[in-house]
Amino acid sequence: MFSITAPRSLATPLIVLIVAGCIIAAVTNGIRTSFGLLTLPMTADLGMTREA
Amino acid sequence: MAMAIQNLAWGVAQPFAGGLADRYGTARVIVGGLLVYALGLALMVVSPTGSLLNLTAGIIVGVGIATSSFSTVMIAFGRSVPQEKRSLIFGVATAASSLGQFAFAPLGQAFITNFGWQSTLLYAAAILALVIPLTYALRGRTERATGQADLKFMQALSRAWGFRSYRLLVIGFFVCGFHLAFVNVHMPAYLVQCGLSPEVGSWAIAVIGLFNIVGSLLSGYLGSRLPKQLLLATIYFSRAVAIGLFVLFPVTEASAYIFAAAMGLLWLSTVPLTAGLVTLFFGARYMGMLYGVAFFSHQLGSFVGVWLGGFVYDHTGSYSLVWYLGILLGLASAAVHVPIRETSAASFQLKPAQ
Repeated sequence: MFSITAPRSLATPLIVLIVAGCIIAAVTNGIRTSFGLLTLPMTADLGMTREA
Repeated sequence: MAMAIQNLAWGVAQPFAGGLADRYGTARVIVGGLLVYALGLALMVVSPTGSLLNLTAGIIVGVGIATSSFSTVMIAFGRSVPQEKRSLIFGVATAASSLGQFAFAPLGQAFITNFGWQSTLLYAAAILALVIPLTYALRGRTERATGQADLKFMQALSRAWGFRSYRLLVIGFFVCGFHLAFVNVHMPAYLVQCGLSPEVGSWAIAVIGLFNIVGSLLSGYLGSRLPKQLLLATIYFSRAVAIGLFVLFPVTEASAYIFAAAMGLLWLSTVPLTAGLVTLFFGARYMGMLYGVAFFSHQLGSFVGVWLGGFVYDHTGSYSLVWYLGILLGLASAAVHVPIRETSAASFQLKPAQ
């Protein structure tokens, strides 16, 4: 009932899909979660408060 | 404020990103998202005012994250495996995200220290552009399942919101966002305020990522065997306990890492379970959109967590009030998840012909 996939001719092997998806997820999230490290240098350089 | 807006923009854009991925395919949506994300990072370098940062670091980066991050990747994963394995595969995607957090936190700190924050942002934008070819593997879109109604966006949303378990799940997910965003953005500065070095903050974020790999895989595995709503209630209750113990005792390097490890185990472990419940309620056809709506609530919590952290710190010189609020919200969210039922929504099935 829930079998939902791209047409077979277009389908990617599952392992390739998973590895590619995991690399994309790792890079996008890795960069995003590093934003907290920018708080101190950016607020110091730009003369902002943490609320701003 | 820019980081708070980023979380909100991510949340607002996520249901639309999910809807677009359901309709036009994940690969196209992620390519667009990676380009927007990279553009936003590059523009942050030339944003010297708060207003400009709200636009670049806030709105542009937020929309880029919504359309390229693990939430959108999970749509491709979800349609590629049967229902009983979805919780596990969502756990794999979430664990990969955490691996990125573990790798990028110390790397980011080293880049900031050696090259400055401006160059670090440009390098990050370049890395995003480099992963674009990988999206080819995620092409394809979700087809309508047999026996399932074909609904428009507002129709699907309206029917989903009428389903009590979904409402409770969406409300509870707000707290996840609050905890994650507050800890992620404000903990490094909080640890410096407690007398620790900035490196401890970056390593604490890395430890969260490391332990979250275990937490995400474990929750994905357990989610296919135990009631997901009870696992979620346990996670939120445990977060409340972890935060309570962290603020109760003096903050040291050791306590920071122990707290980071505990929070890491509980960090994105909510995601495979929440996404798993959404697909169980409504099927994979509407997963992108309806998980996106749940994620909007998560990001609303993120916005409040980041903004309130800065607001309370600027007005009281301390983060204490926000930590205490985090404990209360954790307990409330645990209570909200208990009445959820693991059943599919009848309103999403086709009625038999008369």
